[in-house]
Amino acid sequence: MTLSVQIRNLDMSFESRAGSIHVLDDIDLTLDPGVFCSIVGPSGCGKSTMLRIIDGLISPKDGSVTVGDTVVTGPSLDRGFVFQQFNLLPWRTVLGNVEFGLENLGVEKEERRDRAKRWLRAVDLEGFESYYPAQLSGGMQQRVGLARALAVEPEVLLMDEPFGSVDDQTRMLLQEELLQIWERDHKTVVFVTHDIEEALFLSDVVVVMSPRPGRIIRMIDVPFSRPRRDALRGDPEFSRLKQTVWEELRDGGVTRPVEG
Amino acid sequence: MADSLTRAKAKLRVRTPLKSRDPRPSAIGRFISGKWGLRLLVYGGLVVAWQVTAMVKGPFFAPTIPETVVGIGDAWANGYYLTLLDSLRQMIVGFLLALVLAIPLGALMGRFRVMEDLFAPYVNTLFVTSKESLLPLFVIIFGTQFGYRVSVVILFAFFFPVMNTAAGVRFVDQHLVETARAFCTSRWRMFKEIYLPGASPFIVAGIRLGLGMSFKGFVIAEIWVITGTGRLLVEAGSLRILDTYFAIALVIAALGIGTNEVLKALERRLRPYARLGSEGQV
Repeated sequence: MTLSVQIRNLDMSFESRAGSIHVLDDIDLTLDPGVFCSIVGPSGCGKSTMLRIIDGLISPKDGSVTVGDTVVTGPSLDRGFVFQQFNLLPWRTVLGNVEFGLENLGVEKEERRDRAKRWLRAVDLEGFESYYPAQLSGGMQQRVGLARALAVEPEVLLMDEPFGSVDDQTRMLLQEELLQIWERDHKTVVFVTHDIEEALFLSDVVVVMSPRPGRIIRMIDVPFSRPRRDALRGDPEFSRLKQTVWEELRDGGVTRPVEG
Repeated sequence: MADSLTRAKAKLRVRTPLKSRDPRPSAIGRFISGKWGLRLLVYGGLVVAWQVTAMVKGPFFAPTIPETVVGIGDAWANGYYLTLLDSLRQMIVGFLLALVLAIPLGALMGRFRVMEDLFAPYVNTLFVTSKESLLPLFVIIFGTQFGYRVSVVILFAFFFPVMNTAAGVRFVDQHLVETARAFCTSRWRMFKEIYLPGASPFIVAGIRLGLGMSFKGFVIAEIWVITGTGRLLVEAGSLRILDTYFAIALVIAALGIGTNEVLKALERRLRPYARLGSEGQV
């Protein structure tokens, strides 16, 4: 089972000593169950904030998020979160990190171990169970982060620039692996990135956001059939769409009315 | 800045190795330039300086090394170590009680603003106050026996673990806290799985500082009321039985170093990941 995500009239601002910073402005977005959606936008447009609001880590100033039939009021393990900086617990082994969410769910020790091992296999990390995060490269750490999020078997996967801090080759490999895993069960995914190619390669729909305060400028359906493989990146239609998204992003900064 | 530039350049230069240059220094050369060679040099120098001073100034000021070695044996024969053992027992009780009080208090202060506001003024004031100045008061309250000595050790050992634990908990990586929240971690598990291990380097440092203060505390407490090991030190000092005096002081120092090493070993055992750097990456 997988769940829909509905965002209604979402508005967010942060109070600071320098005054109020308006981050998100009237966001409306509905994602059907099983949709892979990417959110692209310039730095500081509030896309990560939006993801945290969907997870329930931050409460919005106004508006609501509904996952399935439930209004989000706080974090829940029907949503899995993958962080940009991996955020693995340095004092736990790879296996221990993947088990962390399962412990919170109260899963019995043996089943926990089996499930964690199964997801480590899925992200190609078999044999690294007893390593500590500091012993792994960035790419491998993020595989652990992915396995940790998937192990709780969430209905919705929230990913915050998960491949933003790994090198190019690793990023492309991870994108393909993510798609392979996703194609098994088509969970709803909200994927925040500033990499247009990544967004197009992975998603069914790309949401383009304006600079702060973030608004949705446009939603672009990505027509390419699945399963998608690396060759798609060289497709002329792919390049054309890349150009379209880029133009939207660029103009998003120019045509926006200037605010004080 | 200029220095690091030069160094960077020097790294880039590829030199033809000289035929005569042995790439590895000899075993002796490595020993002398290594950790143990340096220690031998420094400590050896101190030992020689001690011996020379003792020989020049005479036994009224300092015993020679052979005399001190004999003193260590004599102290054993006189049963002084039983006295020391008794003092240590009380010190350890005080030290452990201090930790039991200090670490939870520090954790609460680091975690909750209201606890910090409530306790920080007292902790900070007592920390900078001369603890010795409270000794007369402690004698009035607790007498001069077990209760007095244990509470003086607590007073000495208490503050570093409190302040370090509070700082450690405050400095826990907020990204990890957010991660744990995203995974619906309960309050208790948040404390046990995130805050405690996250603050553990600070806590361990606090414990080690507290141990040092415990040694200081028990000696001062006993010297103040002239009892136990403190009495031995005072008497040996004033009667100029300096071989015994030095022997006891040395054994106390050795015990301090020994227990500190035990704590270090314990830390390595409890935090195996602490030594992992990027060089260990696969």
